[in-house]
Parts: sequence; structure tokens; C-alpha cells
Amino acid sequence: MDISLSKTPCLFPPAALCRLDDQLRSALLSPAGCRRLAVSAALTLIVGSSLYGAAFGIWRAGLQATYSAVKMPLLLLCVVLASGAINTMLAQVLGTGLTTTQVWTCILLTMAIAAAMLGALSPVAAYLSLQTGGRAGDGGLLRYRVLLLAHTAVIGICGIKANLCLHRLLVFLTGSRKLATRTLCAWIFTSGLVGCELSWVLSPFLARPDILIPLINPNAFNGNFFEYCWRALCGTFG
Amino acid sequence: MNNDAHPTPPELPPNPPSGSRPWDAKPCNARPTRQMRWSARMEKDFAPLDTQPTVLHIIDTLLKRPACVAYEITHKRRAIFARRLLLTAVLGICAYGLIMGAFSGGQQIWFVPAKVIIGFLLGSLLCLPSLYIFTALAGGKQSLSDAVSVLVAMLAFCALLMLGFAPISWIFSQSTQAAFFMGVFHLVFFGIAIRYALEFLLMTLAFLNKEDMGVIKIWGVLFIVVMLQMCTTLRPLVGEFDGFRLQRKQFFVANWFETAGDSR
Repeated sequence: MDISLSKTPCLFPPAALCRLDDQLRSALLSPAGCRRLAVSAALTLIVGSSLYGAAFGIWRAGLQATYSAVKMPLLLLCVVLASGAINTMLAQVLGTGLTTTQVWTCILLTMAIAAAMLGALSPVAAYLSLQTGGRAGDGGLLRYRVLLLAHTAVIGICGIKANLCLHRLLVFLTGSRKLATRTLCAWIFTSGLVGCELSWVLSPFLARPDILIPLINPNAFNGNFFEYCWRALCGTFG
Repeated sequence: MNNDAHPTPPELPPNPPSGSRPWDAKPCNARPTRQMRWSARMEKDFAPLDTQPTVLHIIDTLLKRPACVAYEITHKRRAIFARRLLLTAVLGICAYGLIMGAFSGGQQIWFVPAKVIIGFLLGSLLCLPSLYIFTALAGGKQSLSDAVSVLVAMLAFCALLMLGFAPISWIFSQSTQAAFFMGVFHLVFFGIAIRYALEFLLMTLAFLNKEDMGVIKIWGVLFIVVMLQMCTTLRPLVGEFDGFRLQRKQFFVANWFETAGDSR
């Protein structure tokens, strides 16, 4: 690691965040570098996820595109804020030796990598959304389900890839593959738990074609994501 | 990336762990894989073009010594090469489009080449940001302009292979009236061309970065999906002229089923 911090750029472009090269990793070793990295990651997160939100929302309407463009980055930032404290504690309990700044930067960086991928895919997503036919007609609900499933899969794949990048970073920071894996699993659990509930409240995804586009989920405070899943399971198999 | 970013060909690490990456040397009794053969070719030919970069020379080099093109598009003459490769791609696709249009004749002779060129370039433009980011994810150090150059080289490679299929395509088009079957033939030819073009892209990026660029395979799938959807958006590419307006929006798989049903 012979790259001094003075050589690191003010802000890291999205491609540099995805690359996780020596320069970026060396920035993680100092508080000043962490701050620069966190700002770069936050900007990438906002722009990338906003673009993707607009790209899939455009299928339904301009209003849905606007809502999704605002809610997607909001969701990711809220997940970072809500899970940051517990993830820091877990990192310390597991003996990683990571500082609070490093933990927050790492989590933000993971979200930023996922958002960069989503942002890069947004032209394709927008094109395919616009070409699969509108919500009107007999196939409207089917198209809605296929699109929702496809976008969920894309977001999931980007999330997995981002977490694999985080694993590489944790191996570098902790010096132990085993410890990095344990920390990553703990973080995925907490972030996943928070993410499920926040996505239930904010509902950044497409609204069904037969209902009005809501700003937030009308049932947001009338149960939670897991209750909904439980009822759906009972309704299907019970 | 500026021109000085790759002043010399990338060097192998001093003691590479054998067999762990595509460009690593394998024991002599091991059967060389496709990646190893590409890697050996790239190592041998990664040097500047020793003649004037005319379109004909570039076509010849792209087919025989792709590493030489990979060198040029990442060094000083990158802009010239990228422009001429783009010209090669457009001419090749235009020629193939003429053959496609000749199947139906009339106005299609002129509209199909124009549509194919627009679709090819627009589809590539849609996929460019993801190529750039996916390359970075795999550890690639290419800038956006490098990604453009490599993409243009891939398009030229694909266009040349499709141009090679043009006579065969023309023979088939003269012996059938069924648009559906001609569509299938065009898809098969496109599939073969894009398969080799994507291999060229993957191996070029792997060689330039000395990294395993497996993520680019996912990008390849994305590129193919976009191109197939573009064919559906700009339809009819095979069949009678149906006005200047775009047809109703439809996913390409649904369109295939519908067309196959109509052909019965």
C-alpha cells in the first residue's frame, strides 16, 4: 500500500468505487479518506438509485417515476442510517477492530456499488419498461407482475454483487477471511431486516396498475412486512 | 483513460499462481483452453499496426490480429481507430441490412438498413454505461472513452462476421417467402456473430486488465436482450413495409410467439 492519501482524489467516481482498488482501500485507513469516500458513496447512491427508480417507475406513469426516483435513494439511505449503529456494535463484538467511521463508510460503499450498477443499468431498464406494453388491457396485470419480478431480481443481483465487494473489503480491513464472512453475515441480517420493513413503508416499487399511485404504502402502519408475508402464506396454504 | 495510461503493454506478475487466471501459462501436457489460446494470441500480437490504418487494413487486422486492434484502441491512435472501426461497423451492418431488406423489396430495401443501423447504435449506447461499470466491477481500469473504443471494436467485429453471412442470407431469402423462417435465419447468423464478438470483447478486456472479467458475460446477455428487443421495436425488419410509425409495444419473446403462431 504505497499510495499516500495526498494522492487520492477529492471525490471518487462511481467506477473507482466499483473497482475497490488500492487507492480507495488506502483511503479507508484514515478518517479524512473515509469522509471523502463516504461523500462520494452517498452521491453515487443518490444518483444511481434515483435513475433506476425513475427507469422502472416510468412504465406506470410520470408520477410513479418521480416517486420512485425519490424513494429509492431515500430507502437505501434510511437502511444505512437505521442499521449503522447496530452494525458498528456487531463489528466491535465480533472483534474486527473497525472504527465507527470505517463501518459506516463500508456500508455506504456497498449501497453505492449496488446503486452504481443500478444506475448503469437504468437506460436498459427504462427502454425495456417502455417497450413491454402499457398497464392498460388484458395483460396489464401480468406485465406488472413480470416487470416487478424482473426489477426485484435485478436489484437482488446488484445487491449480492455489492455484498461480495464488501466481503473483499472486509477481508482487506480485518486480515481474516473467516472474520470478514462472519461480519458480513451479521450485517446482511440486520440490513436485510431493516431493508424489508423500510421497503414496506416507503414502497418505492411499482404500484399495481389497478390502484392509484400512493406516496407511501396505505397499510404502512397497519402491520409490517413480515406480518404481510405471514398472512399471504396462511392465505395460500392455510 | 488518457493515452499515457497504458504506455506499454501490461506485464505479467513476477510469480503468477499457475492456472488461476486465463492468461496464466499451463503445464505443457495440459490441453490449451480457448482462453489460453486467445491469451497466447494476444501476447504475440499486442503491438502497433505497422501500416496506415485504412479501413481495409483495420478489417484485416481485426480478423487476423485482434490484439493489434486492442493495442491501438488503448494507445495514441485510439481516436482514429475508433472512428474507422465505427465506420466499418456501420458499413457492415448497412450491407447486411440491404440483404435483409431485399427479401421484401420495395421501400424495405432502404428502410431496413437504416433501421438496423439505428437499432445497432442505439442499443449499444443503452448498454454503454453498464459495460463501463461492469468492467470496473471486475477490476478493469478502463475509462468511459476506453469502454467506447472497446465497444466500437466489438461492434465492428460483429458487423464483419454478419457481413460474411450476407451471401448465405441472400441465397436463403431468394428461396423462401416465409418471413418467420427468414427471421429465424437472421437470428441464427446474429447469434453466431455476437457470440464471437462478445468473446473478442471479453478476452480483450481480460488481457488489458490481467483480470478475470467474468462479469462481462452477464453484460453480454444484457446486450443480446437489448438488441433482440430493438429488433422488435423497429419491426418489421423482415416482411412488408408497414408505414413509418413504430408498431405497438411488445416484449420480444411475446412477439416471437405471435409471429410463429401467424406463420402456421
